[in-house]
Amino acid sequence: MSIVIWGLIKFIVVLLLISLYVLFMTWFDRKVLARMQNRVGPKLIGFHGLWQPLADGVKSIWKEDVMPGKAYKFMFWLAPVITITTAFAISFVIPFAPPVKTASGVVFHFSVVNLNVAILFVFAFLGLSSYGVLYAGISSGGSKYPFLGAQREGAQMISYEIVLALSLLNPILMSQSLNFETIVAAQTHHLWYAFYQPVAFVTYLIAMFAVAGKVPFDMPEAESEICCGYFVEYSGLKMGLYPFAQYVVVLVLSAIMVLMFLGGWNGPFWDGGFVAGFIWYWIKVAFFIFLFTWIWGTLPRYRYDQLMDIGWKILLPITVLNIFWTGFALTIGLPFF
Amino acid sequence: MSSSDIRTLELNMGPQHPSTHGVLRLVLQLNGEIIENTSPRVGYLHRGFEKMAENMSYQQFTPVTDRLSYVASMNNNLAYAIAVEKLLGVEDQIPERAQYIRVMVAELNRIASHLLWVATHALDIGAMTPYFYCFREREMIVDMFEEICGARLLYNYVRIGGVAKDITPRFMDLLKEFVKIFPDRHKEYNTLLTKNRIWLKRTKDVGVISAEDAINWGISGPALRGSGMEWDLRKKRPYAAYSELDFDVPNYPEGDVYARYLVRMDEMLQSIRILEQCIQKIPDGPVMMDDFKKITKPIKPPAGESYGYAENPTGELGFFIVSEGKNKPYRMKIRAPSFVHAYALPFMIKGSLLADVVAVIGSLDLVFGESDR
Amino acid sequence: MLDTKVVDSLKAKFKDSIVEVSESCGDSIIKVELSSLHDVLKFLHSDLSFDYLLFLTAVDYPKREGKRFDVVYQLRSTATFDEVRIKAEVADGEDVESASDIWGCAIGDECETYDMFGIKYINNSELRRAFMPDDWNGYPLRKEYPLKGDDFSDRYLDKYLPNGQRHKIEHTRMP
Repeated sequence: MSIVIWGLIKFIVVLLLISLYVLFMTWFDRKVLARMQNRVGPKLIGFHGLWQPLADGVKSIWKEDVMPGKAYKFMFWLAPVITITTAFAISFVIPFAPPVKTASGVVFHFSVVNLNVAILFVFAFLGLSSYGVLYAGISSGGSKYPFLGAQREGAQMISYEIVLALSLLNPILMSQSLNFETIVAAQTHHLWYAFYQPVAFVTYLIAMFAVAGKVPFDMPEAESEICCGYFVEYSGLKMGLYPFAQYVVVLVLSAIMVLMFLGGWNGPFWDGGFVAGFIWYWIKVAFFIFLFTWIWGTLPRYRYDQLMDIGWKILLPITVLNIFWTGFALTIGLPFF
Repeated sequence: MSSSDIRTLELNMGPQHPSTHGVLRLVLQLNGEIIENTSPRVGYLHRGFEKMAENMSYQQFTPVTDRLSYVASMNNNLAYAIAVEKLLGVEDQIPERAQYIRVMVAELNRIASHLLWVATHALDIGAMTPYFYCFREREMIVDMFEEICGARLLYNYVRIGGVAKDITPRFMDLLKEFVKIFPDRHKEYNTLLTKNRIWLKRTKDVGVISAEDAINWGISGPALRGSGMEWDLRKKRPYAAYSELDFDVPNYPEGDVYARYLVRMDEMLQSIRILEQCIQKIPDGPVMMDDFKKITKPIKPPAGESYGYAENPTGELGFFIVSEGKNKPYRMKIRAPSFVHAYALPFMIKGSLLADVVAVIGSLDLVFGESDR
Repeated sequence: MLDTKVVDSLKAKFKDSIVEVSESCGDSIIKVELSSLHDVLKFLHSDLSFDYLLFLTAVDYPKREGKRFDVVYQLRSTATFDEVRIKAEVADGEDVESASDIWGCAIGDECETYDMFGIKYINNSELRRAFMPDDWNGYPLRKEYPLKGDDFSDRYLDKYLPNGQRHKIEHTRMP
């Protein structure tokens, strides 16, 4: 019984925290971009515009909700729901802090569910999340930009989730676990996996941007080519759900990056229990979230075929070879493995 | 599935689209994302300038030319003034100081126009930041123009027979400061774009047009120089004070989007060179011919026709004026480079991807105030 | 000022069809017969290296006796920078052979001239109204077309607009 209650409490807390994170992430994005571009950014509402996201949220709720006349209504409604649900679902298996051993000897996990197959779960729902985009593209009543955007999203997700999964296979092989906390624990005794697997680290980093659909791989929503792609026909709150889900995915992918390759809550020094672990963990995650914004402000966008070339012709062979190498190294038992 | 079941997707790109720079409408036939066929439709900004010209006096039409390529109003004014002066046969009597001021404002506006072009072109390709960097310097130029003529976008400053007012000392101070800092700022854009891997991948070998094809399609200006033609009206047929100034004509033989980008980037530095010389050489004296000082005095050119042109940031802007000895033109045809470039688009983007269309449109610097007239 | 060589070789080739050679404001103007216009342009392009068509337009002379329009071609040689203006008289309703097989950029300008003057160009693959809507009535740059439009243009948008925004009768135009 207590498991259910605790699960529910965690569920609600994570839901609220992530919503809060997304709100202030938009503020952070705008502020950082503004600093990069000689601008001030939001400034008027609250301290340095801190309440700007709330104002935006209220505006988005009150906006007129337009639906194209020819849209498939059910699918049109369903699409953003799928996107947001899957994004949240992924975040439920991510630990938000190191586990704590309570006085009674029970380990308290700071994730909604501490799954043994957490990584499989993540991939299952990442795959599902692209359905939200595909549905949005198809159900927009024959509108062509959403259609092109959905096409791009479909191709991009298929090609880059393979790369993403194959890159993560290396740490999984090394730690022989699919559970995040076990993998982090494995890195406590070792060096971090990024040092064993620099290639997988880099391929994951690249694939991360593609799966999140962020610059330089924001093909599905390239606003200067296909006018925001799949969510052109959406408006109001429904349209707001797509960037919302994207921010959640950014958080989740950054967290996975840190958990799998950068030792989770292990720091290079000051290994002092829960507080130190918590701070280390979030410093690293925040860096990757910042990296997304940084790249956004710096780089142009790749072309669609170039994206496919990078995925299939460069990253995929490299990751496959890397898995062979990891297997070989583990089998013969190289000293550092 | 038989081949007859495969249909192309007809995509109506524009007139409201973030990267068609105003109101270009392209009807694209897409096979997947590959362009099979294109048909440009212009005219969404048609204001009937040629009809208006037939009902306006020569001086009245000068402010209308501002509205052609509204990012390079000074150059438009200059081209129009040259055409009318040619019709009147007074090209040689323009005061020397006015000629230098014309060169200065034209070059400043060329830099402003190119900056705006780099900004929007980069935005089209997905780089957001250069936009704001370019606008920082454009703002300085606009401030200078505000100092000499009070307007920030549509100047009406270069008039028939000279320029409207003399430049002020503060303008010269601002200009000297601008000339000093601009090369450093130019390096900033270079670091953001020129050697950027993604930028190179997006712009190299895209929208290639050879020099012969470019001439056949009437392409002019930086786009023609990007195809390897050393073709600059400022050098070939010097107008204003260009014959006394020393500058290079940058040209790159590749003929792709990147070459056009490099041409424009280099041209900005050449403009700075011209400005530096102008600051040194500018003589004293009147800035307007006495005959044209009174704006109410009608200009009545003799019956005849002239074609006057100038090298604009977008290309060759020409005015073909037919006069019948009255104070209004009988017929005025405006040779707008953007219009010609828009019709050359189908040739340049055939077989490329949808994302390249955006890059090629950007690289041609289409301004629809000019194209649609 | 044009090289006399160009005029001479033109005169040698098209003896009868050259109507007039004149000069205005330093620009050379050669007036030719409409029937041989396309051949003259082709000859200028291929043999005399006038490879750059600056523009192509028409001028309307409604009061002139004989044919109403002048079609004007401004050509330039990129090698020598010679410029020449070729003209031909066209009557209302008469077709002109398209120059789009000689210069690609003629397509756009011919569309424009067709739009503004109603001069039809045959063999232009994309001839349609360049600026005005396809179902527009009248040709704006003809001299008899009113400066501020006519009744048709006032009501043109009505079929696309909702009831409240349609053309209001009380709106008057200046004469």
